Amino acid sequence: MSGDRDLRDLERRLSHALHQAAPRPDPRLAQRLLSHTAAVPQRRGWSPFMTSAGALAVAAVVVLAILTGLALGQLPRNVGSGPDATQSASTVASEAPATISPTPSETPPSPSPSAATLPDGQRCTNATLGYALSYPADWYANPEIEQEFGDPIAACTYFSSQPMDIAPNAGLPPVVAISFERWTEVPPTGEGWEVVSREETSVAGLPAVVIELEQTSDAGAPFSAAGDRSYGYEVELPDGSVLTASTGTTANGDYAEHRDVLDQMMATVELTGDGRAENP
Amino acid sequence: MSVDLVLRAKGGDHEAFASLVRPQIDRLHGLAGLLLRDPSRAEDALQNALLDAWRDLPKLRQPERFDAWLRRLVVNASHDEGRRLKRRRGETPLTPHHEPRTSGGISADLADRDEIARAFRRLREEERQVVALRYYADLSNAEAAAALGIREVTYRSKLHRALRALQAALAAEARGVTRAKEACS
Repeated sequence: MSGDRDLRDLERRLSHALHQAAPRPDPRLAQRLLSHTAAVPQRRGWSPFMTSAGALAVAAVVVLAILTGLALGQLPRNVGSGPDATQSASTVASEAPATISPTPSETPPSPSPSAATLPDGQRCTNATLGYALSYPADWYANPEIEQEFGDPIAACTYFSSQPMDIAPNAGLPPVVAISFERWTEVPPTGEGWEVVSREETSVAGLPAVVIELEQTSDAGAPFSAAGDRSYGYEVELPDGSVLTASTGTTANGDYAEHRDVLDQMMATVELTGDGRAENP
Repeated sequence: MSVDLVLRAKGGDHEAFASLVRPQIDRLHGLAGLLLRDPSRAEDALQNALLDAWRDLPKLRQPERFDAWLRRLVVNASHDEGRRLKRRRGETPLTPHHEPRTSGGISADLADRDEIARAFRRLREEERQVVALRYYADLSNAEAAAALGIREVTYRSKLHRALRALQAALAAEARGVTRAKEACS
């Protein structure tokens, strides 16, 4: 009984002390913070008419600008969280080396822009987005990550040469080098991105484009800045949805290497046919 | 919290988002400051959390959970900011080496408050999270558990252990002994 009383007394004192000890913000803090959020686009869908197959081809440039811009937009958050990061107390961790479906690497023939393959790579399957692919033997892929809000993040969605610590319901750490998404409709464009190069290609026998973009202004701040680049694929799937894969200079590591790895990975993509679009 | 406001904000209405967030900013800033033990970084953590909230709001499938989701983002952002600070400063503990102590002439209430605040700052990060959500953010066990992404029963267990750790820290404080683990959080 005495212990319970002591505990209740401690709780009362604790509540009082914490309310007094908490920092008092500048009265203009709300205005300052909200002015920043107002300058950032939400992640949402584009006009539905843009999703038709014909329009998709015309809008390819815009689409990848959107997708890669958004992917970059996620990356700068958590600057500095790298492989030496300690285990997050509030996350379902994903620091284990990729062990998802570690079947021997298969490199199905695919008219990819890169002839390179990954004969020694690992292979994983993303059942949610509907693909299987190979990635380098010394890279990591995320396992499935449960989230409090929304669906779990599917395994085999994010890739990095370093262990990843991805928090559920939070932005991606910059250690993530390559990310995949699947869209039902064209997502919003990233402000200030311009096409550096664009090439039509195919992935797993399906029409695709490879686009590199450059941010020409600071309109995307704080997620991207002038001079940032992104590189990615947009694959038009039979059901009209779009599979995207991208990397960018805001990720930790060597952008040129990440581009090469992405090219090699895309050459190994097989569609499993059971995926579904998640965005928007 | 108005679900209608959340739905409008999900639809891209930033004014609605501001209306949802503005009344909570002082409390969320205080929470981040307590978790980080560094008020100067609380604004950065809160900024990151709000940016995530605004950007990813269209993906929020349960509008009625907006508040819990936002708190969760603040906890995660504070964790990230703390980790970044730790790397920048090496493994130097964030707690000041020479914290002010109340002394003669100060009321007993103030002395007690100061003592508890010092003991709180010596808790590990996870302990500070569970304690601050309950006793500063004034959340129920279920709400605090949701903010941390853990089950309520797990939260209660962690809270119990954190309070025991706080009691131990207070006892150590009373003996003038600093907690050996203060640099490990």
